[in-house]
Amino acid sequence: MLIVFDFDGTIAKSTHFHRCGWEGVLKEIGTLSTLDNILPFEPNLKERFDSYRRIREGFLQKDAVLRSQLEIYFNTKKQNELIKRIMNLKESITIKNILEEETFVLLNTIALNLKPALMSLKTKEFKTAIISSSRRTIVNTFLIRTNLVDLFDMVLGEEDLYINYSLKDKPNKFAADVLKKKLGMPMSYYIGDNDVIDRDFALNSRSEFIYATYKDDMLSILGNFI
Amino acid sequence: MRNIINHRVNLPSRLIQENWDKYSTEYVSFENSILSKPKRAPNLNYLNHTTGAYQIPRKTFYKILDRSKLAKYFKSNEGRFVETKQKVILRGSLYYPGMIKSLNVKEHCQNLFSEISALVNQLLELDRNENIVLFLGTIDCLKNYLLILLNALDHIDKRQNLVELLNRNDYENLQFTIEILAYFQFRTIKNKQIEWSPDPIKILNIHTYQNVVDKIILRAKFDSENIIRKFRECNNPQKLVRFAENIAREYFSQDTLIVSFSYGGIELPFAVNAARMIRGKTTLPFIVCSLSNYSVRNIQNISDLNDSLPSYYSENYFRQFHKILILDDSVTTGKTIQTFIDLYPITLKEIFLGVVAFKNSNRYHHLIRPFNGGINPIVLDSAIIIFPNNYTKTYKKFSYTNRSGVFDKEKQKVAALLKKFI
Repeated sequence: MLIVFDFDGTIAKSTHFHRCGWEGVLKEIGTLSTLDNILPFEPNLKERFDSYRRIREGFLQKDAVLRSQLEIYFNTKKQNELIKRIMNLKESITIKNILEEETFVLLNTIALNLKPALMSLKTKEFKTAIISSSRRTIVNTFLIRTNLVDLFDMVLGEEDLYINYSLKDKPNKFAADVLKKKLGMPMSYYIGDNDVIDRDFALNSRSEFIYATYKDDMLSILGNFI
Repeated sequence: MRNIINHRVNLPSRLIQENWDKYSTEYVSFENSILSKPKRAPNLNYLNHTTGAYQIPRKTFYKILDRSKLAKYFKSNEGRFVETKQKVILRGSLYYPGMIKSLNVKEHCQNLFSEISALVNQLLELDRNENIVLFLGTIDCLKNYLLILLNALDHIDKRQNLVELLNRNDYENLQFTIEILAYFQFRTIKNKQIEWSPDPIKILNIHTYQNVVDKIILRAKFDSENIIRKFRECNNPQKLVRFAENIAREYFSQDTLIVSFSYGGIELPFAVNAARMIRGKTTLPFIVCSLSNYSVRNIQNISDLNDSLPSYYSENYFRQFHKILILDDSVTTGKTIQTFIDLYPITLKEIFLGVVAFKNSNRYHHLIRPFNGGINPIVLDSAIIIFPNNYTKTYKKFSYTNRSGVFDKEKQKVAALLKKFI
């Protein structure tokens, strides 16, 4: 059986790192615009920043000055290329922040009892994976630093969710199909913290949805399996 | 060239391993962008052999042998040149000490100082009508021996405080001479005529260095391979000129410190400062650190930058510089650079990176080796990198070489050429 987790807000409280990553991007580009202005809070997305649509609207369509600053910085005018490079820059700054953070701070952001719960699943030969809209490299950096990387069979991130330049993000079932192809079994459960998008994603992928956040005790959330 | 302060230079090996599909794509894309740039320094076409040595057609060489002192100098010792059917190549076995025949430290040092003296004498009495390639070959050889000497002194310094044996002025005179040689080499290439003044090399007191080296090697046992390095990785004038010109074009404020790593990158600060002088810019302060993964073997042991500096400097020297320009001959894991940044004693404001050569897509096993990792692609995009490197493809996690045991293809090429000639 394959149990798949969302990452941001479910496995870890990672908002701080994403926010710092985006603020680092603004600083590096040298814009005076604020993050709240460029990527305003959207209730249904919570603090999910790494959305292709949000980046396009916030960075490239709102402010002509900002767009030209970006075009000069990245030396390209192509929209898709610009978005990719903005994401790369943010990814690199976020990875630095995670790698240079104190281990105890990182461990404090992880869901309660996640590691023992995952270890129990592994002893029962469950397969586990992560599907996230954040970059796979960011998720992996987090997992490496918190010593969780070996407890997941696969991580799918934003870079795995494209067909050509078109992002097939949740709730589209594309990620579940990719995972099925790679691991050779369908997703049975999707555990996420977004009662709308994650639930719809589970539904579209014909799997069960379990609502959980990093605040929950994972041993009790996964109690039925272990 | 952009400030890389907000980025990690070295990414962990496990991250590279888990995301190799993505990182290899980014490495390949960067390597392709390097390949699409023009490579040759315009005025150096046909002057250099593929190994980087200056070369002169055999016919020309023998035609001018009677009247050229420099031609006679090269011809007078079989270790000073290599002859092929068509060319005379102005780097012989002496240029690469120990590559063909392993000698003890004393013999190597004798050869080194006798070559330095002979070359200095040639240059002090240089005839302005000399052949330009022979002149460049002479400068190239002297610069090489002085760099070997500089590295030997730094190596000796690890065992015995050099400051007690060699006056700081003498140490700096050696550095100044190397910088001036690079300057005349670059000017000659640029103006296509011999540009030379013997005055700067008159400050070089060779006997002082010889006395220091003799004293030390008599006292302590040294591994000749470590003290006298046989091959300097970044020794191709074509590449050096192009690289230095690219870096010299950039703006750096006067309070920027150039940092490079021995042994491969030992020549880079001299080359960059020479190129800056030619552009009418002032030279920048620089320091060469011994921090490399490969020369020190175990980078984990270095926890203090003092251990990587000549004893004339301390870590406090860095405290006046908040901006640094890091120069390296080649980058694969980025670990040397990352270690330097992590150990830097104060918070840096700006870090710039210039690297001569890069290629990672064929080094998977090297990068995923525990504690190695790979360079961050964003850092590559922000740096000046000009050439692909000459490293072979890896096949095993615990070996840096290819199936035939070769790591550096250029070094292999030099060894083959020398063997064939001898």
